[in-house]
Amino acid sequence: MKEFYSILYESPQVEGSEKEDSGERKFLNLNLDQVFDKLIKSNEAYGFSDVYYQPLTDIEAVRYRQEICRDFDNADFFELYHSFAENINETEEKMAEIQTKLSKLHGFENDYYLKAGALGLANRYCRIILNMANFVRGKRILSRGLRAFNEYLADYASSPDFQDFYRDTKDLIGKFQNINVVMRVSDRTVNIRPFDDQRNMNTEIESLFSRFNINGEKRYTSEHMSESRISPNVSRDLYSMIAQWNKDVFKELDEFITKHLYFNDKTVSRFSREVHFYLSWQTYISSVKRTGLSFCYPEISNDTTDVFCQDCFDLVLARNLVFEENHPVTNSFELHSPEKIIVLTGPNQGGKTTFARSFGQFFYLASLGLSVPGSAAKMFLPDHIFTHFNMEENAVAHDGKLKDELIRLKSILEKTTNRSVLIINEIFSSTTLKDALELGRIMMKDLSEKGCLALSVTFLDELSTFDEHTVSYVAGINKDIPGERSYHISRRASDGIAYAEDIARKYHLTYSDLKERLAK
Amino acid sequence: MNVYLLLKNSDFNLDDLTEEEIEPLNSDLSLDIIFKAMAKGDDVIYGAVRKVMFRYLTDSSEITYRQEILNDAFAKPKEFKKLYEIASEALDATKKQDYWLNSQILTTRFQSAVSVLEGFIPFLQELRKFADQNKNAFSSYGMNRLLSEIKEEIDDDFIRKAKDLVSELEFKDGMLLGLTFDNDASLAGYQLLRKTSEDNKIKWKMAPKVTLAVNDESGMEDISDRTNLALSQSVDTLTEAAGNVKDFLFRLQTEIGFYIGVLNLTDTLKEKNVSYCMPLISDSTMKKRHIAGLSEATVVLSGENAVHNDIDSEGKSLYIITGANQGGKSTFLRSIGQAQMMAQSGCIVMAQSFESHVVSGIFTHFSKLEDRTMKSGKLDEELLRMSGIADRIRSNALILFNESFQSTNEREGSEICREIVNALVEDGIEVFFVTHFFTFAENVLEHMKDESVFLKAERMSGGQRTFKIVPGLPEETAYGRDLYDSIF
Repeated sequence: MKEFYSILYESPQVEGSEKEDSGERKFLNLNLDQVFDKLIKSNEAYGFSDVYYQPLTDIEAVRYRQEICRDFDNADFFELYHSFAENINETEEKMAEIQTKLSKLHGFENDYYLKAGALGLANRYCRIILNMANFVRGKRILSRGLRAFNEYLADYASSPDFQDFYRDTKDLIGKFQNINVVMRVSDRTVNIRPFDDQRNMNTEIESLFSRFNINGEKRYTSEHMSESRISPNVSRDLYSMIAQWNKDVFKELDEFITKHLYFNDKTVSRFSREVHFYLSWQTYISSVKRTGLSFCYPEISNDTTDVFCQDCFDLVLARNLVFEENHPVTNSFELHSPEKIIVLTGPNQGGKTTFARSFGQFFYLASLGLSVPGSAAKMFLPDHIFTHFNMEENAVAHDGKLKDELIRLKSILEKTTNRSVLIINEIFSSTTLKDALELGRIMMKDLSEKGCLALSVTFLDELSTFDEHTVSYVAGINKDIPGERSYHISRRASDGIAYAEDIARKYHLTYSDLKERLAK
Repeated sequence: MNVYLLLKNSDFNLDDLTEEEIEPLNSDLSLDIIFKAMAKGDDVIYGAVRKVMFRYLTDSSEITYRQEILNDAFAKPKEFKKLYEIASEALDATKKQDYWLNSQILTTRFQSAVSVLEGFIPFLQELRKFADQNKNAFSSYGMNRLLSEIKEEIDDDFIRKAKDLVSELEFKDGMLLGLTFDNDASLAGYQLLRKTSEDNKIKWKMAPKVTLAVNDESGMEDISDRTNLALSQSVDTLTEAAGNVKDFLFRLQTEIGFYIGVLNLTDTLKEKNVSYCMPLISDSTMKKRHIAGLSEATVVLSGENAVHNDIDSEGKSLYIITGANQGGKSTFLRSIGQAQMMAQSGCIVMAQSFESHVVSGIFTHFSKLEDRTMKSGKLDEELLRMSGIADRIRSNALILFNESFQSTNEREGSEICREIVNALVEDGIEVFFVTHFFTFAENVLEHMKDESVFLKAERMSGGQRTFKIVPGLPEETAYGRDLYDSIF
């Protein structure tokens, strides 16, 4: 029979990438903690949460996941697998409860209510499997992963073991459906006897009073007890009384349980849990898609010469703006050899930190094999993603801040290779301009020599023309409205404009404005 | 089971009357006094006679069907009253359950439906007894059909089964529920079952059982939910059964009520020495009226001295009534309307004899006394009303005009009258027109003499009114001078 390993990893060898510390500052800096906390919360029960902290370093592994994620861009496939997974999950959850309860029974005890419940769930399980196997037969699935699972499922459904199980289930359900008993309720006593051809009260009333023009409309529906009001003890007693009149069938039930109690297929089970990795991602980004933003599957290359992303954006910001029926401004970036370092300058609150975050999110999410913000992209899988953000809330005293920054920088640079990605946000802002410039230039030299990919957000315009590896990007302002930002980041030489002047103008606090006001 | 006492083969419409059905006939023909005389204080009869009269018949065979039943009522008034009584008492006895039938609580609804059915059984038995005792008492097709249906449907077998069923539905001895398994091996299909004769014996005592502890609340909830599932299947059927028996009794009460109403009226007329008769109504395309001694309801029922009028005509479509003011013309017009309506309802008519063709509808266009002095806007109102009639009136209808269009001058008014009347008569509509417009009357005399009858309020040579309407050509004066003289 065909084997299927996992929908997250093509083979066991790929699994077991190093797990990063979920508490790392990187996740907080990039706001990825907000993304993963939400996703993990909805997927807690499925046991794959670690995957979010295990970025892939193998191109094929990433492609494996991208293909699957792409299949779920299709709403029909999403629905199909989503309901399959949910049905399996629900059935298994209920089965687990029954399995536990039955295992706790003492040797002399029996509970036919639980056993009948297991039978019912077995029937449901068979139908889910068979329906799914039927449904996916002949459907155009693109990803290797889902195709492999479908083949497994088809094999499993037609396997002699499963067919045997299905037949046993169907037969026994049929036998139960042939049972007809009568329950007598009188005060607090309940008796059970087999059906004795008693007439139905409804039809009697109808036929007796039909001479008074009753419409014989059958309003009979198969009513069920509401699950929350079922008393397990009463149910157990009822079933046990019914068993006394149908010993054969219930003996078969005992045998069925002995043979089939643990009927869940491990591979199907694992799939039904792990597939939520993709399904929950699709759900997570769907509201953002509805505001008009695009997601794409970056082309992954082994060499680091070309990197670009068109129409990138900060995913967390985008999700927050959904409630305002708006979306953030999208920005693009590109680096072609020998370009390696983006120096981003521009006014305060101009969207630079947001850009830095979207840059980092882009690389990290892509290495999980999921779709990423953007309309088209190309990248390589970094061996590490390092972030160095200016931490304003830090308790460290102001003069200790520079020291702290340098220590952090050192530890990052020690591990940086020419396949790493660094994001440095507003470093050296707590020292004199002269010092900052000097340290900045040293840092740029280091980065340049290492050959890593980097984004440095800084107020030091001078760094933007450091060497042939450097590219200058600038955050823009809205020329028409003083103090307004456009959040548009463009690839051009830095302005050298005193942006502070811009804000001052907004509050009528420029020199000329203030003079005028004071003269009054 | 059908009552069919007002219509040969169908249920008479017992819905509430609409405003259009009631007015303007109710006011113009002063019908309420007739209804009150028929009801004699009974609200049910009052409602019944109103519905029957406002929904008068237009099919002479249906009229005959009712007249036959009415004849039975005249012959056996006590029996008719007894039947009415049985239905009324049955409905009264079960009235207080009506509130509970709409309860949100399932078991309450269930129990009240059982209660209602239980309450009806003795009265159904009485109906049956009535049918047995009176199987040769009546000659009408309607009454005999009803009695034989009662005998057939409310037979001993039915009574016995109904009593058994109702008794079982009290669950004095526990409830039986049928159970089956669904396709997930869960219990479903809770159905109430009837006990067999065996069910009351030992076998249930020997059956496996479980008894819930007194404080097992969740257990009790569970069991009561299951029984409710079964009850809910039946409660709708039961409620419908109860409702349908009630509908039958209500209908019986109403339809018989009409005949009681006519009996009440004839009792009153007899007391006041007023002649009444069973009218002769035929599906005749040719119009004929042979009426003798016709009196008007408000006059006779208030004890005033009645005037009796006669008409003897065939093939006439237009009656022009002119003459002195307050000479009894309106009264006459009303008596025609009342009589036609009563005749076509299967009722008696207040005349010595009454023969006429059947009309497709009865319409009135009366001038309102108090408005007669206000000319502005009044003509519009009259024409609007006439237009409304024009929308609904069909060939072979009867329309009564009382001083219509006199809100304008004689020349204009006559012209309006002439055009309207011409059109109506040409369409086969029968018109009675009380008017002061001499020009109009003269024109009719000139151009429509053959199909017209000219009547006038009788005036003696000395000027006294007799209030009788007699044949007579229109005169140019309405003898206003007489009235002046009598006052000044």
